[in-house]
Amino acid sequence: MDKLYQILHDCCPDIDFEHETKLVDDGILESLDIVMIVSELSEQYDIEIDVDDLVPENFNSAQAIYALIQRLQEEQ
Amino acid sequence: MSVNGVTFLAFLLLAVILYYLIPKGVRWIVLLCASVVFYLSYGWSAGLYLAVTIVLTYAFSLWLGRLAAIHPAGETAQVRKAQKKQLTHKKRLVLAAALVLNFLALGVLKYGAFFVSNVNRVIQSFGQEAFPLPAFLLPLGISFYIFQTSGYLIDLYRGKYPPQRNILRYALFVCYFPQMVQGPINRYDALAPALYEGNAFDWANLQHGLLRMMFGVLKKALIADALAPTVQELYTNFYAYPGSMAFLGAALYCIQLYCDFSGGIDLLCGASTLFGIPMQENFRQPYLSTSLADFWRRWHISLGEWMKDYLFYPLALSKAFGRLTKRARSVLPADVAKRVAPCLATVIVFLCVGIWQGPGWANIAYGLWNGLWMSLGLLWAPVSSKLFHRFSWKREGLFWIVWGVIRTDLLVIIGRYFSNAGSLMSALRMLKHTVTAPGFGSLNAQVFSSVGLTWATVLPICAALAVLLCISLAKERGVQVSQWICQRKWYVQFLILFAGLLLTVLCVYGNTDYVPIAYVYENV
Amino acid sequence: MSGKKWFALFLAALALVFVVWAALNILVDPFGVYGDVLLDWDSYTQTLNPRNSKAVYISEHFDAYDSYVIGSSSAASYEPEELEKYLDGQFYNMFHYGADPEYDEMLVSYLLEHDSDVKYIFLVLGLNEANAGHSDNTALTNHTYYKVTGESPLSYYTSFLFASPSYAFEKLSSWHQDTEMPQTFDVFLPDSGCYDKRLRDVESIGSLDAYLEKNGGDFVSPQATGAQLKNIEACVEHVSAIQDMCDDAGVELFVVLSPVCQQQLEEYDPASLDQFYRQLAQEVDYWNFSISSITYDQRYFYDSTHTRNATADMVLARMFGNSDLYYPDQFGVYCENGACVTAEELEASAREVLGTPHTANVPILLYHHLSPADPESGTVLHPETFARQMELLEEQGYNPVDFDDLIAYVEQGSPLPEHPVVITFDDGYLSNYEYAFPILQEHGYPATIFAIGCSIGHYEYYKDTEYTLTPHFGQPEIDEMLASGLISIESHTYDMHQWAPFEPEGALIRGNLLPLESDTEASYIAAVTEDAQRQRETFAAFGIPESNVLAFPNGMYTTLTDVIAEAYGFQVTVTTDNTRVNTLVQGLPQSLVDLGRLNIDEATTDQDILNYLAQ
Repeated sequence: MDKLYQILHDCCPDIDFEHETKLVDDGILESLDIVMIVSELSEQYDIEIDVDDLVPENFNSAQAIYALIQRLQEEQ
Repeated sequence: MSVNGVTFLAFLLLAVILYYLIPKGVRWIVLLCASVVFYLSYGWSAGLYLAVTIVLTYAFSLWLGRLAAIHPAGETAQVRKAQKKQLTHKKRLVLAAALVLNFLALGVLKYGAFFVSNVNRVIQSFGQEAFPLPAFLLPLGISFYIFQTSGYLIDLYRGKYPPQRNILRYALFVCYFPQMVQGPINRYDALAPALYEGNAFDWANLQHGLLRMMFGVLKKALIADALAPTVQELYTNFYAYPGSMAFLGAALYCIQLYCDFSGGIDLLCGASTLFGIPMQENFRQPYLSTSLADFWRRWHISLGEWMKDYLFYPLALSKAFGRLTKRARSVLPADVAKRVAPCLATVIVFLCVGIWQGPGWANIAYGLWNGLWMSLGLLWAPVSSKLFHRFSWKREGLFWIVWGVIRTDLLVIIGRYFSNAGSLMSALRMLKHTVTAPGFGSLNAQVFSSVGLTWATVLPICAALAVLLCISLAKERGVQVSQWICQRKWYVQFLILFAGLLLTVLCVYGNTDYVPIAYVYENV
Repeated sequence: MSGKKWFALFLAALALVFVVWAALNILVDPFGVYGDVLLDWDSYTQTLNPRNSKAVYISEHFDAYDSYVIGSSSAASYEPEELEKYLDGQFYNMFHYGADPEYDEMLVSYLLEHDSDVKYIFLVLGLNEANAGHSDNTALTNHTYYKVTGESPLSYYTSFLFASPSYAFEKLSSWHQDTEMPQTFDVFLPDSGCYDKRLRDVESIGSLDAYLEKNGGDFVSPQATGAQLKNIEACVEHVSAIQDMCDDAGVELFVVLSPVCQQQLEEYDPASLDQFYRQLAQEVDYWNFSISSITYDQRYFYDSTHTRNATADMVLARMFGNSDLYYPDQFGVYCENGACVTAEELEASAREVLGTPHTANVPILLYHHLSPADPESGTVLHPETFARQMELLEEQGYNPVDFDDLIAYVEQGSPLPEHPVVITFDDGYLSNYEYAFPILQEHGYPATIFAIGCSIGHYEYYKDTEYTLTPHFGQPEIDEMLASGLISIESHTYDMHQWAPFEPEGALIRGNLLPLESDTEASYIAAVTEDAQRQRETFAAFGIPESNVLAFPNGMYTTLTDVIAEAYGFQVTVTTDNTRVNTLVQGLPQSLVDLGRLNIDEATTDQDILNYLAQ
């Protein structure tokens, strides 16, 4: 989880990932950020995130992102 | 039939009455009939093009739906994976064929002449004879329904929902009349439930629909139409005025375009609300955006969302872009490297947005202008973030918000030099004129009145703009003005309704057959 | 509030909006349908919709009129006042926009039915009548009185009820901008039904080239020639029906084919014109003025489809044999008992007439004070110089005439001598009598002195002040000069040539005829009119004949000045513009307006004068 926070902060230093739970719904996280985060995650965790996975539920909070990573790692 | 005329209102009234008179199960048929009548009022041949697109995309949608319904049933996981891969490959081919056919229609009809004229320019420079320019009929709303059906097909490919099997219901989704003139580009999963279900009559829908229609009509008539002659004059004869007037023209065009576009959307969304069918919102106070990226999330939202879901994400997350990121990492600092792919995808997306606006190099330049600034913004983000930390500035502070809004609107205004100047060359000339000869010293009442800005024209526009600004600021703070109005005392509501209807009837619908007296006399 | 209640509120508000809308149209009444009680502005309603507004107007004034001019705007220049010189009727000009013989017939039928004592119907036709069909009556600007069309009153009154509110707003804003002079929104004179041409009838005419340069846009040649007249049959049929109605009612009918301008004529095939002439002749006796020498001189037209009022005066003079008024030779042919002329014949005689000039250039010389004492200062001239210049005129063969000769040339067509010139003096100095008068007598030259009324007889002092001034002549000199028959005295205003330093401090100074900054249109008109009135009284007191020539102090004027002067009876106005070539056109009184003059002082050389005279 700490590693995830680190990655997220590197991508978007201004966002409070620890506390926000509606990152996408409230428009805090933009599509540009999402793309950047996704490609970082693919790199760091060696997973393949599909376009279908880019729904708000998966990116609304750091926890949701973490869950997504775990699910994808299991599927591999 | 023009949506701005009395005929459309009568048509709408009839459709609404019929809709609620017949049994719920078949109410959608009224909508389909109304849509067909509406579309055919623009001519039979346009209807033919639309019908072809409906049948074609319907066929592909069933095919994609059948492929999506197949579940890999192999013995082992490995076999299932191989089957899945094969299936995906097949689905991809089917989708590709569908999209190529779909966009080919749009490309030929809308961009054929532009393409041929550019080919001609090249071959003429080699001394070859030019091809005659094709003159195709451009069916009403083609850019919208092509995008809407394409989005639908991609969703089916992604297995988001099963296809609509009833071709008539599907046809209604494609040609539902309120969306045909200027969008929005609706999503099937959002629109379909309300579209097919016979919605129960609800007084509240009537209330909100009518209020919104009135708001839209007034916005268009009192601001957009009132500004149109001035904008037209300043864009066509900009060189006859000081350069700062050209800038004013572009700024006024921003206002005109917003009021015209969003006013039309309000009218049509309001009309849709009368049937109890919510359409996708298209605008959210765009000129109060604090960055260009923010602007594009508030301006023509249905197009932006479409571009994001069906172009930006697939592009940015494609294998090719992944490789690009990897390569970038080896030569660039990490902070920059991870931004390369999104930047490139952004530029491509906005190139497409520019092309979507219409044929011509000016539109392409318009797209690039937006794409490049947004990419720069992305690259600049880490630096700005450090600056904000270093000096402990607060992004939420009023100063930074106002600064952001001004900066964004400035970029938008300059962008509008390109999207309305007719050609790239004249846009550049106009821009040059603004910069090299602003001529602030020669601005006077004479100059303003010669472009149609006199006290008599400006004051009503300003009053209407002030009301619009208040409504926008209220919305920005989460206050829905229509809700607010509905909670007033009856006589306050009556006064507001009376004022609104008076303006609507006297300025718009009642003002159609007017001939100025000077014209009557001088044409004897 | 429930949605249901809200909707009731919505409907109520909508109903109220319609009530307000209707009330606005009834009260402001832009088309003059509901009595126009608020503004009572016939000139406006006639401009917006002459068909309806005039029919309504006449229905309220049948007792004041018994004769009518009928036709489209080509009939606009036939003024009741002129017609009444020849016919003992009370005329009203019922002309409407748009050639429409069918409407003409409806109108005559309406008039004969509702006015019990009609004497004359004066029907004016243009080529457009033989070309255009019935106008669309559904447009509100053409929609006419229900009693003319037979429409039901209910449908008539309701069709204007929800007229675009812009009509009402425009009427209100025009009311706000209304002035004494006609503007595009009030071009009618409601008492006569004619256009208010006061402004265009004082415009400088000048040479044909100058006129076309100024108004060329109104005289554009057609893009195609050889067109056929498309409505001959129907037009003739309606005219014939009008004649039958008039015969039955014992009303005298005049049918006039009005003069046509070259640019309009070019459009049509002459054979088609002949067909029209012939078919019309088979049905009625009519005057054919369509092609004549004036066809080829655009100065007789406001634009390619509208004759000047003065041109219509010539038509009437010809029809009723008035030899006191000029009209060209071979002007108009009366076609009776089925006989008619062809376009070719008319054109040939027109060309022949054009061989004789109908215009004259008349230079005018301007002198002021003559004195042997200080000839160097300003406009003062040495008497010997003056004498030499008179010699020069004689040597060069110039023939001085006076303004009455010019007026007679223009109005009656009386000939002018070769190389005419007019000699004028401004202000009324005693020196004109002392030095110039003897020299003029010697040559037998006529001259005109423009006297400032309030200075006549002031030999010493400026008005009733103690400031001394250059002496002005008085009664004895006037008597002697007038008795000579050479000198005429005309107006230089009564007191609109004030000299500021001599006027009381703080008083409004009118140094010339330009409106002051503090003037409103009304105060200016009042001031100029009052001055003219006092001048008239002063002239009468000194035994000077009433003046019909006005010299503008300092040569300055506005169009409004011209209009006021014309209305007050000044037939000629003169300025100090030495670049203006004074081209007089026979039949056009407005060619006497704003004439230029060469101001002569010691600095003027003989060559300057010769150059000016040779203009």
